[in-house]
Amino acid sequence: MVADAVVKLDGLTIRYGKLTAVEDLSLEVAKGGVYALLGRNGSGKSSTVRCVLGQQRPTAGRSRILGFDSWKGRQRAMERVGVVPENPDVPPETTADRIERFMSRVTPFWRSANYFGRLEKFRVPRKQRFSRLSKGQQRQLSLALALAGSPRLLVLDDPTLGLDAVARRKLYEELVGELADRGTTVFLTTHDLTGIEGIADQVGVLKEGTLLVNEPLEVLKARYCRLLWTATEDVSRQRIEAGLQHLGVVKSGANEAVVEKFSEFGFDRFRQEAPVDVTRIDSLSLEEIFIVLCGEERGGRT
Amino acid sequence: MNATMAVMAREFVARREVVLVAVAAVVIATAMPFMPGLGNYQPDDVRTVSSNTLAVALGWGLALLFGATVIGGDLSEGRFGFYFARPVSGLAVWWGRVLAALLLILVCETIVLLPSLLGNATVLVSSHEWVWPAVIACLVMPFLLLLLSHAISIMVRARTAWLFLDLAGFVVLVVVAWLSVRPLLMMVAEIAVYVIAGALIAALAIALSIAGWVGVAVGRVDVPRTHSALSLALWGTLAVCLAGIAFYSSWLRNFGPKDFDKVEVLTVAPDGRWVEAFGQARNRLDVRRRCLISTADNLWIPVPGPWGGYPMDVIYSVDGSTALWRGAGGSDEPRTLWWADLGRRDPSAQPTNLVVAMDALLALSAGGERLAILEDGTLSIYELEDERLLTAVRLPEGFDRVTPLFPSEETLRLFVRVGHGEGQSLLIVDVVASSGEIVPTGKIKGLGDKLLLMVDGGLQHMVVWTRSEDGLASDRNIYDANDGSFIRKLTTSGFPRFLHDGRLVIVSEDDDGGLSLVVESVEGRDRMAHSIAGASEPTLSGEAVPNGVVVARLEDPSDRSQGLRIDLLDVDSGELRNVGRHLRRAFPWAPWQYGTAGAVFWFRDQPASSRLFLDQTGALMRWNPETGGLAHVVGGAK
Repeated sequence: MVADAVVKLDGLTIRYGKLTAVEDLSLEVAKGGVYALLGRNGSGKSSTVRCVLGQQRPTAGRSRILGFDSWKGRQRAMERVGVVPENPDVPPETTADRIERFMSRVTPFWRSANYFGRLEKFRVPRKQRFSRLSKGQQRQLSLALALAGSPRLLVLDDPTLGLDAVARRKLYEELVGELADRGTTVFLTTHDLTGIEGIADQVGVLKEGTLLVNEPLEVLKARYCRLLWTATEDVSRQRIEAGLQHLGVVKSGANEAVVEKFSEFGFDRFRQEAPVDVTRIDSLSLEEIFIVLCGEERGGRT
Repeated sequence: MNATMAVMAREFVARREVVLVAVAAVVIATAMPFMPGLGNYQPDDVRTVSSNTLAVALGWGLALLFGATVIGGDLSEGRFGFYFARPVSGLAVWWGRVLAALLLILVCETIVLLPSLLGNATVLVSSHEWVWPAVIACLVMPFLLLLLSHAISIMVRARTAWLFLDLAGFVVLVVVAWLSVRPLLMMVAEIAVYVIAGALIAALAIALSIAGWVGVAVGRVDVPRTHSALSLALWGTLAVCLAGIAFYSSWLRNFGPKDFDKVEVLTVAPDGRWVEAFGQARNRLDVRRRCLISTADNLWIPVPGPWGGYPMDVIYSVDGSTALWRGAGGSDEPRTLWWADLGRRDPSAQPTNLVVAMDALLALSAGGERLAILEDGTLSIYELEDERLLTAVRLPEGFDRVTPLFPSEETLRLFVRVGHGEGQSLLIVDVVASSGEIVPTGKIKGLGDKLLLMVDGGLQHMVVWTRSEDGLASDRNIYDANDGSFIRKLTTSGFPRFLHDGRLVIVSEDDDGGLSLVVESVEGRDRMAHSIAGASEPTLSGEAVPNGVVVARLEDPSDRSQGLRIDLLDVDSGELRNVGRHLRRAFPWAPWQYGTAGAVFWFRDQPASSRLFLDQTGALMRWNPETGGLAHVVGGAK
């Protein structure tokens, strides 16, 4: 249990008729942390985000943000929550200036200077209709809206969708800078695994609505690695397979294997069982881990 | 409130381009007088009509458009999360958007109405009759259409199984609305119909407003959930409102004589015991209940109605034992005949299997056993009790203005106007009930086009009053009602009435202007005159007791609200006995009320009717000849 959890999901279940989008999801996001919820398309990420933001009522379970029930206390909670949605939902006919007038009337902690400063920094035109802005500018405007009120929680639903590699990188770099200064908690979903690898503290992976992984990124990355060895003739394949069981083998080939429970103790047991000559132990990138977790061939041979 | 205003301001600005449409419309309205074909009309009138029409059309059109898109559009396009990611309540989102749409509609309507407003400024300032129609057309209807369009838009966009509830709810709404309004329409309760219709519209507006808000607040960004929340709130609210309206409509209609405060007597049974009356009760708007009321006890029978134009719909047998009337229905629909055996201890309305048109002529025999129906030139005579057809005969050509009366159970007498103009004649024809044989018994020629026929209680004599085309000259002749033979010309001025014993009584003006009551036999013998000099505007009512007629005079000629002084005049002795003061006659004597359209006007004296009065509080009072006192029947201030 996380003390001062900014986001807390408890047994969250979301169903659409007979289809279960999210099943018994429980997780907590610590204050000041960056939580990345990952998953393939249709895994239930956006439904989860909608429940977290109080835009959708879960079928079962609870969602709390900033101490408020997401559904019942949405209005209060949103005073200190910034949101960047998956698809920009700023009214297309409006301009940055006009939207500022609206936001300043409904958001108690709104800081116009923050907003305009950010627009200026990223050269987002203030008099142009939102629909005529480039995708990058739309994202920056959405982010400016989300950050102008100095939120305690920032929710980003796939914020880099549609952005090119440079824009993605800039967005994350900029975000890290902002958040480091403010100590804002971030809850995000993304398909840009490389981009968030440097900023996420904690990672959750959803597969078909079920949370497969929920742990600090460093721990996750330490668990997953690829072993490469040189086999000798007197070590049978059966012994190698038996030895790999101590490391939680995910995939294995003739001279390599991906394991998900790597530890010193487990490695010693593997070596005792299968005295092969291990030439390399490679750590996996988040993307590779994600593919291992969510790919179709889990448990197969490489 | 601040959030609502912020949403409203944002939405108003977002859709402000529609004002350009209003500007285009005002240009069209201004240019309309120059359009081909409109040169014959006053330019101001054309501009006024054009701008009014365009303003209403634009207002309603925008209401439908905004209703369909203002929330449903953003919701289905996934942009509704913008508001719900901000600290804005569902209430603020809903009302902010609705008010913005409404404000835009009003702005557009005002722009289009400018030519009309400027051209009619003086009229608009001096008269306020336009205010309510304008509010309804330019504000209420757009508001309703906006809400309705929004609800339908959400239903169509979501297309969930809740549509079945929506369809079922719509059917229930229409049925309940119709069942609540129709009886009041049938009762010609105009104000009540407006109130119930207004309540239904208000209920619809309230339910749609609540449903829209709940849909937004509960559904948030989820279209199917918005639909389910909207449908549940809409039909739930409407169910409560409709139940209330249906109950109120039922309460308005269902009251009995004991609730009456104002009473209006329509017909009186010949024996005076039963009367057909309209009653109005306190707090029931203009709903009038029509019923048969026994003046002797607390019995009453509801009778459907009223409906316009046929106030004398209940007919009685001469002995007062049977009443017959047409059932409820549309103005042109055939009606089921109902009857009541008034002689029973607990009389009740009985439907028959007989259905007649509203213009069919009906007659009951003296004892109420037989019923004659004259419809489309066919005369049918039935036994009323078992509805057995005794005879049905096709009447000869030209028998289209007929008054049927039963001189006996076995015979039906027809008084028939034939011919047109000055050459018009009155035929007297008897129809034998058992055989259907038509027996002509008399003919009176040269009566002219305007005639009034008054028959005595025994169908023995009649006074035929004919008037010239210009109505200035008139003749009153007495005939035998059996064979039409001429008896004499009535020389005494005034309108005559038959007494129970067959004599005639007339309030007549003397040569010197004085008034007297003249009594004489049909043949003109045994003439007596009793002066009623000094009486202001005396009028003669019926024969309340044998040889005693009711004379009514104004209490105060300068103040008619003081009512009438009612006296009973002994026609033999000329003695006056006071019946009561500050009264009104419950059953105004007006012969034309007893006629049937297109037929002979006729009147059979109903002496008992002259015993009924209304007091100053509107209560129906019955004069008791035995005690000489007035007894309260129904109504009046409690």
